[in-house]
Amino acid sequence: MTSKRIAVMRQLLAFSGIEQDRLRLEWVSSAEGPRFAEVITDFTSQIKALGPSRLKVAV
Amino acid sequence: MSDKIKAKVKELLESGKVKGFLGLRHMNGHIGPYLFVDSSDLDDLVVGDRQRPGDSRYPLNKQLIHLARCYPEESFGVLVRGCDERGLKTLFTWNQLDPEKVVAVGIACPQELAEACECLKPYPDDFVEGEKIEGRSFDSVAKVDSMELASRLEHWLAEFAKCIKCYGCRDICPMCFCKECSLENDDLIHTGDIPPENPIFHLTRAVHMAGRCIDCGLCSEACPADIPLRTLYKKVADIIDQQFHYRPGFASADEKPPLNILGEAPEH
Amino acid sequence: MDYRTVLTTCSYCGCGCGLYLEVLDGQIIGTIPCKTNPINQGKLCVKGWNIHEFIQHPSRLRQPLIRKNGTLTEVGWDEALDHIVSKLKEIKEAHGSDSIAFLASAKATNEENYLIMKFARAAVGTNNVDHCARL
Repeated sequence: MTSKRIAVMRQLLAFSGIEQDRLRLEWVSSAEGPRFAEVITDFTSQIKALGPSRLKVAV
Repeated sequence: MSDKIKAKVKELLESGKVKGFLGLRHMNGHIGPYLFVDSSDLDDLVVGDRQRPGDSRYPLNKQLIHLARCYPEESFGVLVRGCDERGLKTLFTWNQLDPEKVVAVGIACPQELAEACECLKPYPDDFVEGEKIEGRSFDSVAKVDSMELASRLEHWLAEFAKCIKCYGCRDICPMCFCKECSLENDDLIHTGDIPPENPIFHLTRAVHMAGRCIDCGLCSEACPADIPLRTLYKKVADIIDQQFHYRPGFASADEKPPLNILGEAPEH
Repeated sequence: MDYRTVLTTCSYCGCGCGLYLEVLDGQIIGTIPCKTNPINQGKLCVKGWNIHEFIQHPSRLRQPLIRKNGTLTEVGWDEALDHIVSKLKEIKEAHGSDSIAFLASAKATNEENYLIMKFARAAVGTNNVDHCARL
């Protein structure tokens, strides 16, 4: 259900003018510490590359 | 252009098939919703065209829910256009109305209205009045889609900034039947704050229209700030159709909306 | 079963938006903006949309109340008006006309609002008049 909602939300964000890559869904188990770190590091660098959200500037 | 509707309603009322017919009536110089129970009132029945076709449409389905909740055993007739019929089907799906207790009397919309609405299907499956006009595509959605990402954000923020938080879009919506509304949940939307958080308020509502909005356009008509809400919800309907091949009111009433069932994973 | 849609005018402010009240078996259950009204053209503000709620609300005032020994007590109109008159006179004599202000209501008619203005200026002698409908 979550994967369906996120898929819809990403497209709605794009239509509203917000980069859809600012929203990501990943499954990480509590036993997967290194993977969690990897996902977060990757996502953080992805967000940094996108730069500050224009939404934040606008509001 | 309501003679055939009048004849049909007269027959329904006189045969006792329905307890009343929810339609529109010309009264006191205005066009308003009216429950016809006596066929002698039918002279004043209208279909909601005053200056332009369909400029006086009302959320009859929503009123029908109010009636059906108090009189669940009675059958009622209701005036439907293409959008209203999609609404009825969706309300059957969501168990808000009983298909056995509703008799729809259909009217097909004229070209001018179909164009103004960008309606995909401006006619009900069965109609007694009007002529079948081809559906239109969502040009307003394509227009926003063709903008640059940054201009899209600017466009919507400017539109949403006009909101006076009257909740009219929700209050007029025939698909908004929830007893508790997310737009009044303080964890999601700060209640009592005006203007509402931009764009959270409107995007929250847009998400809730997913798999539900039947594109009647009453929200846009009720908006005192003329926010193009219909365009936003048209897009949401497109997203759901593209991802899950489901469009409210086009599927059969037995088919559950994709966000109400687990179903298959989305196509990315 | 008696279901009606009653055309009326919003009583919250001076705009005069037209609306239908949904009345089912004598109970007012909903508000629908009037599409053909030239003032609001099928639109309403948040107050207008909820106007059906106050009419039959249990905490709506139905009788004048006077605070007696700390508790608000229902009284008749004669007693209430006598009380108001004596208090207004007392305050005016002790502190002057400008120690009194009048707040008019959008739920009263134009004519009644005119009267309260006239009463404030001519009878009490103050320009302290205001109205609740400053939207």
